[in-house]
Amino acid sequence: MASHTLEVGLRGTRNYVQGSQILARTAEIVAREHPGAVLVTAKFTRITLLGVELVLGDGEAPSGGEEIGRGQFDTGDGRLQARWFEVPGPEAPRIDDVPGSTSGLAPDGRGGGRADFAIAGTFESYLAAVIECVKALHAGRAERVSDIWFTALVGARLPVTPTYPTAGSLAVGLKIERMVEGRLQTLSVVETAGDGAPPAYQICFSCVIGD
Amino acid sequence: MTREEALAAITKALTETVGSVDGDVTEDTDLVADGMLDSLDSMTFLFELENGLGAKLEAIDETYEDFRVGALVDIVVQATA
Repeated sequence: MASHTLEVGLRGTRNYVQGSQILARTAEIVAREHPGAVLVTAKFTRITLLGVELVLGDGEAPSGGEEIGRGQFDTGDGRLQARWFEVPGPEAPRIDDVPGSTSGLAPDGRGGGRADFAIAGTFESYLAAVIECVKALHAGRAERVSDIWFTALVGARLPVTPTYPTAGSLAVGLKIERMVEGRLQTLSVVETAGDGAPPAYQICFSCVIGD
Repeated sequence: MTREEALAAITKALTETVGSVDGDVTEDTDLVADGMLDSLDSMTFLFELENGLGAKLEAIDETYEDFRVGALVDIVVQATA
């Protein structure tokens, strides 16, 4: 078991630590020992505005905080479990926002669509572009859409090292949607085009539609 | 598709979703109430089920909440008839 306090923050005006930051910092740590690893799944059960602790393998978080999500990496030698815990204490520090990286958003009228992206080619920049694209597609679905949260990645093969295309396009196909306790939950398939693009995978979001 | 085949397809989708299943899955099993799926998993399960069947299950819309296996078997048998 190994635990790490992640260097995450509240970006821009957000009142939560982005899942993409948590995954990116985790990927950097995993890459130190397993540079060929890929992220396979990630699931967040709640958001937090506090610090985040990563536990790789078995064991409880030393801080005793509440679990906020878990994921799995394929290291090539097997699966490595990651769990994320909220760190009791002060809020995460406020950090600067970053400019958007997608353009040419084109909804398909069925909850999906496509967009182009231009990124640094890192795990974090790629994931940020995907989340930006899917969020924008969700925001465009109705007049009042709020609290759009990235909640899960499933069936992915996302390298932890910077092997992503620096330019390309994303195609998002909405496959499943469910209304659970007043929130719309969606599952979409993301296909990426570009040199070195990862294979298709599923991404889940949650949002509120209406008042 | 027979009820047995439908049950097998549901079990396969469940295994794809959660990795492994403790105990038998029967028509009396409730995948959510029995703690096999949470709300996030249920979307992945439905996606895997539709993928495995190669068909959209029109009876399962965004308000669908009944994850009793017997009810799902009914839907799969009807959709594949």
